[in-house]
Amino acid sequence: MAFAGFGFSAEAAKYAFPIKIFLPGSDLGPIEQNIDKIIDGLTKWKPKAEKKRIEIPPGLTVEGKDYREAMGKMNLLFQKNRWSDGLPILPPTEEYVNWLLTGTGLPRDTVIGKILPRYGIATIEVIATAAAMAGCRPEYMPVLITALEAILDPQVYHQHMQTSTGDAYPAVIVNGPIAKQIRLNSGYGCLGPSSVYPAGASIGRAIRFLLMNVGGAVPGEGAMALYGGPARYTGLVFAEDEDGLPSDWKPLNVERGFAPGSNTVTVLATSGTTSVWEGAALEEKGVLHSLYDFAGYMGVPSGGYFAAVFNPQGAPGILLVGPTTAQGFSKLGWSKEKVKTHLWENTKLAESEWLRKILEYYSVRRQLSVKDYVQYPMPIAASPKNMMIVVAGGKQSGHSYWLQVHGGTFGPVTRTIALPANWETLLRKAEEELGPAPTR
Amino acid sequence: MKNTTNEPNLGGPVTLKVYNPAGGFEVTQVHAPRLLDLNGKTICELSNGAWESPRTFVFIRELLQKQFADVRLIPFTEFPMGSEQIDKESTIDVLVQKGCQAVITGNAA
Repeated sequence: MAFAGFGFSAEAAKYAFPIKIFLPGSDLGPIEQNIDKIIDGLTKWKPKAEKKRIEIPPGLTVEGKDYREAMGKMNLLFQKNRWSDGLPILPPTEEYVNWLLTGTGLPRDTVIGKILPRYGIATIEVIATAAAMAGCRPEYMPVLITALEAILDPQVYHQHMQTSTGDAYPAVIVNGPIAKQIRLNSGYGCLGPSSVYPAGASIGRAIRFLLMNVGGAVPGEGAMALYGGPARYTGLVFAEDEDGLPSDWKPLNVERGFAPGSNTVTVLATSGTTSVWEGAALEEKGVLHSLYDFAGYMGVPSGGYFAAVFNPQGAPGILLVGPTTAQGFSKLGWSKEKVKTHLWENTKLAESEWLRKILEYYSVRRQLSVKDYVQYPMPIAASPKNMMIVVAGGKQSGHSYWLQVHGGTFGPVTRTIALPANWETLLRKAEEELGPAPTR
Repeated sequence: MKNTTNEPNLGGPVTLKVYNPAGGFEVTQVHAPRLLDLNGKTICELSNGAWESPRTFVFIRELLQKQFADVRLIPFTEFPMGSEQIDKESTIDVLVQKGCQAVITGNAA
């Protein structure tokens, strides 16, 4: 799989030993018993692909005595080919894919990028195929395409997110009017399932199908994540509650240099999802209690932070704060910048032997000098500006959410969403089928 | 999804033609041809520094030297180490400079 990432065919002269021999103090006898396999890999092995070419896999045909049987057989076929997440899949038929393609103005053979480690080619048609499997609608396509573009940006370093033994998934945050238009959640339960706001689950699942099927991040094969994590089913795709922002708090995308009211996607590879129980923000004491609570969850010695320290654009994670909490902070004079600075100051990590060793390890990997970059106590981000705060969630105060960054990745990326010329038509059709979009 | 009810087969036979979700793949490089024999050859090691590679590489080296008296083995300590370092073009340059004719890469790298 790793070879495919360099343009080789997805095969290699390799020998897989049982994992137990790679544990400390193991018996290396299996290596001696199989040394001929290693020698064969250097002398006799022949690849199937002996010249440069483009391989396009053929479509598939499934028959059944009725629709139920055909669907069942299709799902089994996809499972056997390792294209499934274990949940029922909708068939990516020509009809369904063509319907989804009405959600983009890009030709179907447009290449968005190649996804590592397999280096599969993600064209608009392939993206629509994943979207069909996940049950998407055409109006989701602009967000899905832009999210994949952002994931493939070198700043996100998706190949590490894909193959790491850590459990990483992209957090995808949408700003702009498109969020409400496509029924993407920014309020109650925005990280979970919803019939009223179904877009996030479908888009997130489509992203996972692309990362897995096109990119080769199959658990235990291309993806070595020890646990995977529940967010790998439908991802973390949600919108910022821009209506709930205090008037002096800028939306995430505006902080990152985009025009107010613009449609954007911001992606950060994350590893943790932690519910934070914090106090109300009705008085200064409550604000400080909340902030110290946040800092307590954020300021833990985590290997995920050190890429952020070594990278001027890195972020330690995303703090989700509910609209009422954010409004409370603002009324008491806590601007977003003041909150970020407070958190940056109060999440610094004390010098310790463990911290020194992990920094040395990362400095070797990235060929950076620890002495040049780090002072103790060590901040979890290069500056307060790198702390990411997004207003989202239910209206009550009382809980927030911390999405910790995945270690080894570089940083967040924000991209503008391009809408097709028939956007208003798509929205009208969606309204005819689903009813008026919720206004919140 | 088995039909576990006694429902009649509604709608008759169905054929589903679906797109392949794996996407296309471009082979831009072919794998290097293999060596006829390891005697007289220079074999190099690249390590990601993980999964007991200091032990496994040393052991593989010993086993190869027993079978091929004239093989020249350059240990992983002579090259950049770690998943990110062994991925780099600069590491390939070092392999070429040292005259490597084959490379053993590990573990799970």
